[in-house]
Amino acid sequence: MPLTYSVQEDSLLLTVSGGLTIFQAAERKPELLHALTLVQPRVVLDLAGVDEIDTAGIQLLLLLRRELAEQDRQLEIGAYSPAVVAALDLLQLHERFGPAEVLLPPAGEHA
Amino acid sequence: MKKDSARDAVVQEARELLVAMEAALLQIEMEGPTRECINAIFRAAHTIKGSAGLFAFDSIVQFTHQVEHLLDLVRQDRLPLNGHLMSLLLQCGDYIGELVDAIERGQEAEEPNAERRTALLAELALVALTASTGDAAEAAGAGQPAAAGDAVAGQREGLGAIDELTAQAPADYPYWHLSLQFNENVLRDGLDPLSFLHYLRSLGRIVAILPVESGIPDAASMDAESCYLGVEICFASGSSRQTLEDVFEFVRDDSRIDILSPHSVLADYATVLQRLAREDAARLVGLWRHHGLFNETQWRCLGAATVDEAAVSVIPVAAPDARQRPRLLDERRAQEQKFIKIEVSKLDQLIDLVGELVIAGASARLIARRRKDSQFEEATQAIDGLMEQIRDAALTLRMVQINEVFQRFPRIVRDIARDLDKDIDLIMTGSDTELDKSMVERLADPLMHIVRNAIDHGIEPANERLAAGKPPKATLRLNATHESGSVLIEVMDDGRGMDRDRILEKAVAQGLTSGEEDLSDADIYRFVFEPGFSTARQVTELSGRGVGMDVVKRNIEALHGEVSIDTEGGRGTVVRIRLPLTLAIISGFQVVVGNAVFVIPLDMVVECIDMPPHQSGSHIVAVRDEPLPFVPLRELFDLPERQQGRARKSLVIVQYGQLRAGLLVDGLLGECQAVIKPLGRLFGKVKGLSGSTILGDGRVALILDIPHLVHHTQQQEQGNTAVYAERGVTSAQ
Repeated sequence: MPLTYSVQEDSLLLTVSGGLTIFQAAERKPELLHALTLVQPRVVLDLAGVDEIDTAGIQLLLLLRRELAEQDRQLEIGAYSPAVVAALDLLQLHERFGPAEVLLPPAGEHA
Repeated sequence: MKKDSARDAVVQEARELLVAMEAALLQIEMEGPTRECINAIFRAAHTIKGSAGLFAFDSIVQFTHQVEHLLDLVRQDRLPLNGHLMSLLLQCGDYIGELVDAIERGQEAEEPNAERRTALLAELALVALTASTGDAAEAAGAGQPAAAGDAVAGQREGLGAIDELTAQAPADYPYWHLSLQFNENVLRDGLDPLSFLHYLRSLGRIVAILPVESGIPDAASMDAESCYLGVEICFASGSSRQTLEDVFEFVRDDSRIDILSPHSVLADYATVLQRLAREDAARLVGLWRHHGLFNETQWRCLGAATVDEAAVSVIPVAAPDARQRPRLLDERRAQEQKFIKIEVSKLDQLIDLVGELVIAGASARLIARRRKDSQFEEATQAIDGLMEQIRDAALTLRMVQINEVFQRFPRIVRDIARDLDKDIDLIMTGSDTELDKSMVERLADPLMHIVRNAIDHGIEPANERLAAGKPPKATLRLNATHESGSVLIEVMDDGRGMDRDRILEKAVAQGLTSGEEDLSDADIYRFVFEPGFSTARQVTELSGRGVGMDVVKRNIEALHGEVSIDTEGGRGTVVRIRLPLTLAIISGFQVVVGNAVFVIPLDMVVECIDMPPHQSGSHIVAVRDEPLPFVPLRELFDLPERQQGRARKSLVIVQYGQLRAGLLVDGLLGECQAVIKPLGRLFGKVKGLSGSTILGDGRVALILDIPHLVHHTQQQEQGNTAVYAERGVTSAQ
């Protein structure tokens, strides 16, 4: 399963695996946005299993974050794959996705 | 209006204005600032900006705008016009000239020298800011010194005045700023913006990057396969703009790729901010602040841009321009009533036609004379008179003041003198002397070379001058006058002069002469014009590489002119260039030799006399007890003797420069209008002839090359004296 939901206390954990690129984006979008219909105030993404991500994937994450924010809910990334770290590094997007560094020190090129 | 002709008009006008601006600046440098000169400079900059703006040559508009602002401060006496500022303004003028050149080449989209532009803009802004703040402080200080409120008010006043200026001033921002918004289909086309960023990292360092997400529509209408993301990038890189643009080559269509060079004008950054949604703008400002990319004044300016969304104070450039345009057009119209700009080719066509008319008129007159119809003759005479006037008028259309060349020299002399650390006074006289337009253009380079030589080699450094008992400030004179049908241009310096012996030594070393011949000074100085001849002990940057004077000579000779040197050791050197007035039509004097008709330029004819008796074998006659060398044209051109009957011959005395000579001819035919046609290639090298013309009866007459013939007699004379001298020696033995 590329995307699974699980609930831990007041957090909703989304585990994504496989690719998060233009090829999967259309499919992932409704699945990710499904989180909007749920109620947990904190949504955590586990992206450790994402082996590929591109602009389309990043856009989806940003969209989800924004839509959640409109509901006064928070999106954090709880776990990264090297591909995700590299993409977020490149765009310097880490801080928009919560205190992620604390959970998992960024690897790779991040200084 | 076609863009091309508009382009030419803008280019030409801008060049003229730049020349005016430079002239005014140099005048200020010599005579101190006058309101008139400052206004002239300001007007020039203003008009250049205005006309460039009319055709959207933005690069010039923005640059000139800075210059204009600075000048405005000067005009308001808020900025002293010191030496530093003068140099800066001259350099800015040069750079505007480069931009104009780029327009002429049709490459206005590229910045000819981005680094230089940045440096100049930074300098301009710096100078402007010192002026404004100084003024504000003064204004504040003039009130009650301790009153903080007053100081603030004063500062605010200063701010108001400089807002517009700082908006156009280069920002501190030391990085490239890339503002990208990809087209929606980029992902579907298989291109990932992230890969561009990856590639970008190979060209430099991404200092800060801001993904702009406000382009993403709401969840329902967002298409997961479209690209909505934009990015703002601060990018540290030594790459060229072209390299950076090439990165985005594949996505350029429909994408917005804005690349701001380091230190772009503040208004450009303000535009970037304005384009962003509030939230993103705030983030970007945060990033910029974090990296300290602007100074306080600039922040205030940018702050205004984000806070007041109207942002009127930031980019006010467009508004006043819109108002200025109609006025500029009016100004131009007023000018057009005084001058019409005509293509040179049209003028040449007119002169050709006038030439044909002169020939046709001559043949009509000939027919009238043959028919002995007095009324007809009278009519042709009237037509002749008019034709002559038309000819003169047509020729004066082509005549321009030599000032067109001279006016470049104050600047050139100033720059060279500064480079070489010499103090030089340039005196130009006779700059209203008129000369054929085509010659003026081709005169510039040789003249420039001579002036360079004079400053570099001729004029000594100040200490040497003092040691030689001369004033430390050297004088360089440029003079132009009319002299017997030709134009004489002189470049005179009061430097060390040429060393006759050194030149001779060098000439012998180069095998130009054996050193044993009896050479006149003029002959020796002529060696300077030989290819590869240089006596400079030291090769300097400016001259002394041994190339040049031969090229000067060739260029001048191509104009049917000649160049000579007169010099006195320790006192200075004069280089004289003598040019014919025009290359098109001359008043000629027809003479007959055998069956051939020759034309002598009338301006050079002094008088005609009967040939006085003379010793056969000698080519010198006594005219009013003065010896006069002469050329027997028949012998020179090897023409057959005329049928017997008229033994009496005439001598036409001609003058070229200071030299006179006689031309021995069989008969005089009188004045004519000669349209000069070039000799064919075959005859181009024949000495003694400078061209041909067509007579009224359709025959071809050759035009005599008087300068050459006069020199010929001189050489002959010298040859004779040498012979006499030899004889003297033998008889003495």
